[in-house]
Amino acid sequence: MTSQTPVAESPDTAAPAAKQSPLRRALAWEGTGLLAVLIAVFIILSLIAPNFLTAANMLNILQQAAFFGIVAFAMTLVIVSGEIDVSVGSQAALTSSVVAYMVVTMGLPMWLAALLAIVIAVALGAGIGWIRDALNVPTFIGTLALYLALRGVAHLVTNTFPIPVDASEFFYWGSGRVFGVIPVPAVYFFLTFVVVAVIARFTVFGRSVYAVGGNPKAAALSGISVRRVRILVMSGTAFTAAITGLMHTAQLASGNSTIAVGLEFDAIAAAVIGGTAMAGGRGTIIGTLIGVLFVAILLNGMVMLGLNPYVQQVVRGGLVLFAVLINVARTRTA
Amino acid sequence: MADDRPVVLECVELSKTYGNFRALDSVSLTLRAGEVRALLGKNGAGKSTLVKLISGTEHPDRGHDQIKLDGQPVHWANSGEARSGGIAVVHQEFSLIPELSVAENVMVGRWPRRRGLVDHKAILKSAARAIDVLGEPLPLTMPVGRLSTAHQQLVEIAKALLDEPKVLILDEPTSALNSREVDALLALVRRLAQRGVAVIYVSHRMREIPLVADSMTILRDGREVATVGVREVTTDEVASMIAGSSRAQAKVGEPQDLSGAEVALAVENLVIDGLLEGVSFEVRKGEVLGIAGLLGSGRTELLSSIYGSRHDCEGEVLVGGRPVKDRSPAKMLRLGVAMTPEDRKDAGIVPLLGVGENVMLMARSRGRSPWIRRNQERDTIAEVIDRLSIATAGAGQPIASLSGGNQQKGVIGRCLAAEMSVLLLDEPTRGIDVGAKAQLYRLIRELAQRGISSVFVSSELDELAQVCDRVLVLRDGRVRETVSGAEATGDRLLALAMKTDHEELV
Repeated sequence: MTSQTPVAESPDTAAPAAKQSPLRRALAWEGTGLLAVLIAVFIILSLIAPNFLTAANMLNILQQAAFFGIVAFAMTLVIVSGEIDVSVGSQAALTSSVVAYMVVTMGLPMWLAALLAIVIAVALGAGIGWIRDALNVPTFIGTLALYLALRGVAHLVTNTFPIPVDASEFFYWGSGRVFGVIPVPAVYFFLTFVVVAVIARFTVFGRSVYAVGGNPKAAALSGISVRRVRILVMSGTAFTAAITGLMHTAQLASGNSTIAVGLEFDAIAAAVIGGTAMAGGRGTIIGTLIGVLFVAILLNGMVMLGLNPYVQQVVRGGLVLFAVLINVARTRTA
Repeated sequence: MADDRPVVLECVELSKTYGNFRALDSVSLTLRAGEVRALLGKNGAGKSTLVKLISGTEHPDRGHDQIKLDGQPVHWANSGEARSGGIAVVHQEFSLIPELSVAENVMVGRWPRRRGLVDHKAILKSAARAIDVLGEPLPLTMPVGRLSTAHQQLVEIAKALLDEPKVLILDEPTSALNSREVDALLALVRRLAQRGVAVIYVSHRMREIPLVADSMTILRDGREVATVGVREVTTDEVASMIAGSSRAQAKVGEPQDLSGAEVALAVENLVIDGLLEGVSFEVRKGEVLGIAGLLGSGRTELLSSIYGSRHDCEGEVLVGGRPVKDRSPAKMLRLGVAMTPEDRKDAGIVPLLGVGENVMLMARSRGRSPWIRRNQERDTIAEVIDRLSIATAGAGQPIASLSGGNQQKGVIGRCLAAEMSVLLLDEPTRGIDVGAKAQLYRLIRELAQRGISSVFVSSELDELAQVCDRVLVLRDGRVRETVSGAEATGDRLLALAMKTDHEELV
């Protein structure tokens, strides 16, 4: 990612920016400030938190980052398009529960169960995108309904108890290590980053997301199907939420309806901290990457410091508020 | 006219300067009780400035500029003071809250309270009294959003009447009404006048003015041209006073007679209920076709209907001789027809994206490849920026940071980058500076020479006369006249647009 534009990822910035020195371009990029804060927090935690700066913990952070970071990338596109998805946590829980149910109770093979669960999630996401346009139901309301309903369904399916899944080769995909070192979820995380970043910058669809978020009327008059864009971005978060649910299932070796509580907050916070405008039309995937790492490091640091979990919750809430305030300030100066 | 009626409003040599621009230059106006004064003038002639000064939203330049109400000099700090002081304005755009009831809207901002709670009975009572004056029973408890435009207008007027104003200013009050509703409104204005309210009636519809007004004041370039009784002048004379004696402006390029060329786009019998009653025309390849008409004549609605961004119309649109069913912007773009909207900020630019991305919007959605081809795009963007001389630091500069003229060029550049053959341009020069306007005119002519047709809608009739090969005049829902580019002048188009059907023009 070499985009230095202060506004949005724009493939056309390279020409005028190329005249400046790399240092000045780096300073002009708004992500630089965040990167500096990230490094500062990292250094502070390395000094005060015991066992923070160890190779094992670094890999651990990456693993943890994956469990909300994959969703955060898809969430960035949703927010850029001017929408929001608060249902991802419940989507993940539903996927995990349904997969276990299908494998254990219905006797389906693992791969088929996983595939079906993903299809269900994507269909639900696409449905929310569709009624956004067809019936003018804001995605906040649509996904809020799913947030409640899907968690309920997940509890009904599992009766709130974990359903153990006996498929040991599947566990590798959640808690395995590539070359015995790198956590598999971390690989998914970087893979998703690359794929979504490429979509955002180099595809007509990706650029349409920015156009729809910036001015849906202008986008529609330019022949962009606003409805299609909205359906696709909402399907995107649903898909990544389902993947996250599968990762949880593999890691815990069971289907579980109580996982991924608060996933939506961590994902939205990471995107917003990374510079995505809640009003839409603006945001970068590289910014979200930094946002995800920031949140992951902070969460991990708090654990390492042995903070009370409830204090951690307060910090997370404060983080979201803080991110939005920065966002507002940024929009004002723009 | 009985001149013994007391003078209500007296404006003495009002001037207003914005920066270097003198919007209003020593305009005086005297209004008597019960007098209805029509206020006419082109865009930028100073009508709105005068209205703003009288209604307290703006302040005149100098101390000795004066506004007297009932003989007393007044200095409003804002429009609220002016309103309670006796001057009420009904703007063209309504300021109603659709979900609130008629009564609540009439009383909005001054809901009576009892023991700290809103007193709904009192609201109904006061609102009923205000509505009563209108002579039209409105359902007091119905949400305003469910009323017709005409009835919403009445609610606005009731709101304005609440303070029993001495002067009521109506800004283009009939531009959104159908003819029956117009008659009702005119009758209402006359009734109010009989009760002694002085009315300033901003409108260009010569059908209405003699029916409602006693006299008219014509402004041009910020100055008062004349104040005359409505029966003392003909429409033609009024039109030339509005337009000025200015010599016809030089044509941009040579207007062509293209009646032999192939038809690029044809519209057959387009009907929008209550607005257009069957509009038909053809645009030839390489032709610049102007569409003239007063505010509310349906120009914008016509273009959006052709482009398929509006669906409440009947009739056919043919591109290259073939009818296009189920029109949508995407479909029209595939056929090479593009529209630039009237409101650049609202529907034209994507403000946060760079100039280059804005320019590429149509080409991308029209293209087949799902990938952005950056090298190819870079060339196209550079070419468009260069061709339209868009003043920008680079393709990546956010388009919102450019001047209005350059933003507009970006929006038009979008059609060029997508290699369109027919452009529907809705008020492309609105709000842009003179230099940029001239550039756009030249561009439209240049495109015409390369075989690209334009349908050019504008409320500035001078520019239609300057640029177009042919101009259609839209009036009362139909194309009433066709003027060839060679014969078109701003005055003539204005006279035709203002004309009423039982009046003969030379």
